[in-house]
Amino acid sequence: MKRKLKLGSLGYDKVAYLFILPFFLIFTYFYFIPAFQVILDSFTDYDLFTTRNYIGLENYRSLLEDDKFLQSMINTFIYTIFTLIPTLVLGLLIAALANSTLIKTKICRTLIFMPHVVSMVAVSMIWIFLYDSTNGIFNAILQLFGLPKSDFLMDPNLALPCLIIMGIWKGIGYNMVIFLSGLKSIPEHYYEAAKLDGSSAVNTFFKITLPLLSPTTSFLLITGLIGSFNVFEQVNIMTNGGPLYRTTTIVHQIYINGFSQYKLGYASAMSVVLLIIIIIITVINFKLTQEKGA
Amino acid sequence: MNKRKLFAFSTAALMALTITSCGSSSDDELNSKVSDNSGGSKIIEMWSRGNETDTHAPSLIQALKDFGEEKGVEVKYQFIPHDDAPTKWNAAFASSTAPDVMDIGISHMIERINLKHIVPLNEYVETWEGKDDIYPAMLDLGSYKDDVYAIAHFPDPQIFAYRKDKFEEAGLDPESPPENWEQMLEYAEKLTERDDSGKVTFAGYAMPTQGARFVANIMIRQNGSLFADEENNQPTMVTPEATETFEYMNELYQYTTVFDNGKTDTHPLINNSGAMGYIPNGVLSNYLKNNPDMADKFGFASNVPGKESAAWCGVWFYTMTSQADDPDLAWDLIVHLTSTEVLETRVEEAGLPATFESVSKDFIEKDPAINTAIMDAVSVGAGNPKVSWSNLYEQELDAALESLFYGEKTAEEALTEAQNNLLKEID
Amino acid sequence: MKSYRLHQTWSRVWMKTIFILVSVIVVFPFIIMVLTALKSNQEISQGLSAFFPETPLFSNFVTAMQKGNWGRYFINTIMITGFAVIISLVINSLAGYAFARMRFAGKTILFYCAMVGMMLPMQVIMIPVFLQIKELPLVGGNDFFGNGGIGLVNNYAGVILPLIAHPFGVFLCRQFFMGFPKELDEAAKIDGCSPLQIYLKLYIPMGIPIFATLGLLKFVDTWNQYTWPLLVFNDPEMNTVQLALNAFKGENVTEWNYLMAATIVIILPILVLFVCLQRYFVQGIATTGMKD
Repeated sequence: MKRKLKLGSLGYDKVAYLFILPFFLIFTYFYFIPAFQVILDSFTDYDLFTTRNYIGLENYRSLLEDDKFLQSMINTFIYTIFTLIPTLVLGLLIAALANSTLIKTKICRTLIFMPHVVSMVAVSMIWIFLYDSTNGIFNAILQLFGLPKSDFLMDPNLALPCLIIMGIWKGIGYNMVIFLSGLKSIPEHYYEAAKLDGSSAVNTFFKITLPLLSPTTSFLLITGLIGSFNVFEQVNIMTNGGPLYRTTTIVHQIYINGFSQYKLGYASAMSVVLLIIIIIITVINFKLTQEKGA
Repeated sequence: MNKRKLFAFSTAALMALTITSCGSSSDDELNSKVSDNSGGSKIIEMWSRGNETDTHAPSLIQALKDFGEEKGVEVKYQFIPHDDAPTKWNAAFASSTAPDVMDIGISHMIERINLKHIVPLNEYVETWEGKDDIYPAMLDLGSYKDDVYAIAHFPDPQIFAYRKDKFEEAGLDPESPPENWEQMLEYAEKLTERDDSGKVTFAGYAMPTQGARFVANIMIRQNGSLFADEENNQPTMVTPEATETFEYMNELYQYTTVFDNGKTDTHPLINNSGAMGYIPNGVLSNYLKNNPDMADKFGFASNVPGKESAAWCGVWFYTMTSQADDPDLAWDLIVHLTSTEVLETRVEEAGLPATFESVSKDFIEKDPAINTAIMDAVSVGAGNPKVSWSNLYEQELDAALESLFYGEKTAEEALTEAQNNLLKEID
Repeated sequence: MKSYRLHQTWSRVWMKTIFILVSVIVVFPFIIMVLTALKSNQEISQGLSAFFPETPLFSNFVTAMQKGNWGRYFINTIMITGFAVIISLVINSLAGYAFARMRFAGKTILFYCAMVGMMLPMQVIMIPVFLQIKELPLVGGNDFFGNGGIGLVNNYAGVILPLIAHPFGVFLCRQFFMGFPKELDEAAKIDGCSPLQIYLKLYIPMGIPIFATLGLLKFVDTWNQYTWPLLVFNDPEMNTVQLALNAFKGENVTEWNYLMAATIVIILPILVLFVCLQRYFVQGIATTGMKD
């Protein structure tokens, strides 16, 4: 707090605007204006090609009655919770192991990072192969253990878990790398002090590592949240939202409504709802981490 | 230290490379811009779905080049991956950067007409030589509400295929496919293999769980009806014929393994896990090309009729876009691309069927067994009902069939819900 | 002391075991990928009965690379990625530095604006962004109001520009720079350094780990771009490697062996980069000892 005041006394830096100018020029032109356009469109009957007509809150009213959109919200929430938490926990665990000087992990780290490197399109295609109900590898493994074959992506109860497992698989490496760089920037002398105090490894982890890691964690949490709320590509390729709409997600619904039925105004209203949800969760997250930090 | 040097060096090399290639490419573009503005040679742009490496691409590229030389214009062409074509089109039309001529599929046609992306060709077709040569059914598929919008050039029907060897094992005549619906059901039961738990391991009939709308479209026509009233632009999902069709499909469904029609690689017929069913002709012919030893194990028919004969026929069309700079030139290009000469070359090089009588003889001669079935399917082939909401129709039909197959709803409930959903969206 | 050492050996063993186990599970799909890349068409259509290829067909890699002009595709992709990574590092870290260290009016609001901007998925703003690319003033025949020409359509810059302003990058840089000891700034300021000099002399050298991390992530992101090149380019010569993969995906058939072979070739450069950069982004900040 004291330091902030001190810096404050130095006054405003006009130069700062020059520093952020290049970013904001491009950002405004390519993100902000289009995003603003989407918000405006949500109050119109825009269909991509004819002129827009203002229709007030009509799109939002229809949203309330849209069962598929409700289903997509539930699916997205389930996907987010069950992908994000395991990815974070596993990522941190592996990063903590990799951070240890006891073992050499260079090759393994590269291997674990590999899924992040491959495009979602390619990843989805490989996993379709694995999940295939007649010739899939996973079914072969099930049979090896004497278990019955499963339909995986074609089974209404298993399709979403299948996507979740793939999501975790793809995300661990990225989380590990970011956590690792966070861990490496924690000064060694904290650990030394803890060791002198006779603190156990587990205790050190919870009392020192986790709190000091909270900027990294909050970064991964927020970006992870945004990422999983926007899950789309794998859904589009692997299940197309089915079976029985059990894997349709918010962005998938936006895509279907916008680009297969050309109800862009309606799809924009969905986007705005999505945006609001993400903002609320992000703000809560910020508040929580700030309190922790204070 | 060495490593670092190497790294620095490779970075520098990379930078140099990027700068030079960037320079050259911008030069290229500058040149093309100049010729664009000078008006010296006209440019006509054509977009086709697929890839430069497709079997039919070389003949198309050659035809485009020939056209350019003949007319003294510059022909630009681009291939667009099938799945991404609608996205690319949308962006192009929204930004007025669309081509003059483009190739579309049957399921895109009505959508593009509604969006006013493609224009009627009536006045051109009237004086067109090929008018008498093209199969009337194919010309009809490219029309909507008395206007011709699209010229069919490549039919891609689903044909009925069955495994002769499996028929023999089950004590059926390998030379004759089922003749009607009852027989097909009977055969399917005999051909199905199950494991101890009763789960189907070999499909007597291959019925897709997802994307079954193709089969429904075939069977509703075979049952003498349609899911939509084309004249009044209204859905007619709740009819006795529709319920009958759905119930029949559901009965067949108990003899299938689970697969998604959208993932053609998983079709049981080409995975040695199904005895009969409808399959896109391209998928099957490709499989037989890779597995020549399977060729004599397959029998073909255009369809297994119910009350009537009907088949699903996907079609590729050439269309003129609303953003064509010179419509006359665009039409000339379409005429050139559908000329007997060009299509005959394609039959020879790629073995694709064509929509013109003069070309189909050559095609049948190439491989009579399967190609006769293909051309028969073309002659009784049809697509989605021609209604303005064909995208929504596909979506609702698929959803209704899914809920039927997974036992969530009865045939009647599923159809009623689809009907209601469609009515709600249409007005 | 003895028991401590024993303890250490044991923990080494189980840590190693966990690590190898995780790696094996993660790598499993890639093994399938490699096996598929080495099979013949026939073996692939036989499904599981041919799990291992009878004779590994390394020639599949060669055949795959001969389908289309892959040299050109790689040059295109390297160029797009190179520019996107370098420019985005510069502008995002500059902004991140300003947000972390400088005080100016509207700072909080601007920062949150940037954050909100990254929350909408690409599918949602795809068409509006594409129109912006086409209507960029004064390029590609456009007038000052963005009319008349084709803007950056069919231009490499049309793919690069929308990718470089990356709020994630600003966010990450800001988080990272905020961890730097403020005394350094103040000392430098007293020495008469301008903010730009502080950024160049202190933050860039100290920020190498974050640049390595961010650069790698941006590299992966740009390398795997699919939709922008698809929409913007109207010329087969401009294809990127990701677009070129479509050559193996027909409407009716997918040539799995070539597709997998080409995919492996495509991910190799990123893996090499990862290995090269690894030591940077895991080394941490050399000066962290001075923190607090």
